Amino acid sequence: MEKIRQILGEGWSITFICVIVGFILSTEFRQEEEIETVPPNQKIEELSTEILKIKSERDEFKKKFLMLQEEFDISPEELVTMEDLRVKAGLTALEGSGVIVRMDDSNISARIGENPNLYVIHDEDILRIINELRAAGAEAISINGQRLIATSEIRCAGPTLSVNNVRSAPPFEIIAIGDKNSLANSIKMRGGVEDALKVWGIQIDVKSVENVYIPPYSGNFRHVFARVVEEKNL
Amino acid sequence: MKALIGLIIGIFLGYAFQVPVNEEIFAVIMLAALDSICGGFSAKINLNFSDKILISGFFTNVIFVLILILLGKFFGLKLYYIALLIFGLRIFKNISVIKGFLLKKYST
Repeated sequence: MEKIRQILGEGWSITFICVIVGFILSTEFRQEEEIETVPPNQKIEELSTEILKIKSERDEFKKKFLMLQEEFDISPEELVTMEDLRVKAGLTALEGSGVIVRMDDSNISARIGENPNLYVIHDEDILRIINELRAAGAEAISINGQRLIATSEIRCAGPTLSVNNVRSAPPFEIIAIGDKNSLANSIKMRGGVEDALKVWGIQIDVKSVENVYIPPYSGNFRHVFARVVEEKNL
Repeated sequence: MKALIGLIIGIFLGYAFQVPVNEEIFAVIMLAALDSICGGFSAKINLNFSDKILISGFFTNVIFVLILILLGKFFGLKLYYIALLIFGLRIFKNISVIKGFLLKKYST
């Protein structure tokens, strides 16, 4: 009995190590709690019924709008002014709330026998991000200071990226104007672009900002092959 | 008894301070700590327990394992598996010593 008492009265070293064990256990537990905050199914259903409701509301408003338009006899062409067109073509600088997405190449070095190309940012990765941003309602987007317009290309040019025929190297800074929360969420979404790219260690940093600046398109337009015709019914 | 109090203090510390989680390092430190605790009890049973030896053993183990993780990142191999394996073996060995002692104590 005496020996057992002696053994249970541990020295201070075991106490100290138990502190470390407790510390690690609780940080791990907290990490797991944070992971398990996925919206439950019930909430998803609630949200989807709400979406349906709002969609039908929107359709009603659309009908109303068309009726009112007919009443006052304003054709849609007259509503569009020159300034509107300039904004839509990306020829004016814009400002507004939005997100700044910074991307840089992976800081994981490729394992022996692995393709190092997997750990580098490609045009496809940028395109996926741009696509998500547009789907989330981005009104204007620029990549490293190059405004994206309808005819902008995004492609790999050797180790650099070419946008509007201007090359730039990583890190890339994608700026988008729109609803900053939905823009940021579209990228941070579970199983979304950020998760997919993080597998390869590509560094993505999404920041919602009150006010971002997007420069105008500074290149020129070429219309050599296209000519304007009357609208046809196909 | 002191060990339990230490465990509780540790849990509170973990909730109080936000520490970036690194799975590899945490798993390895956790196993090193368990190894030290089991080793400490079995040393007490063999009557050659010493605070100094236990603490210095724990820290040299952790430092060496961190070096292994670093080297593993360098080579692209998971070298810390070695440490996990050895710690596991030692924990089971020490647990069997403790179990043998308890059996002898209570079967008579």
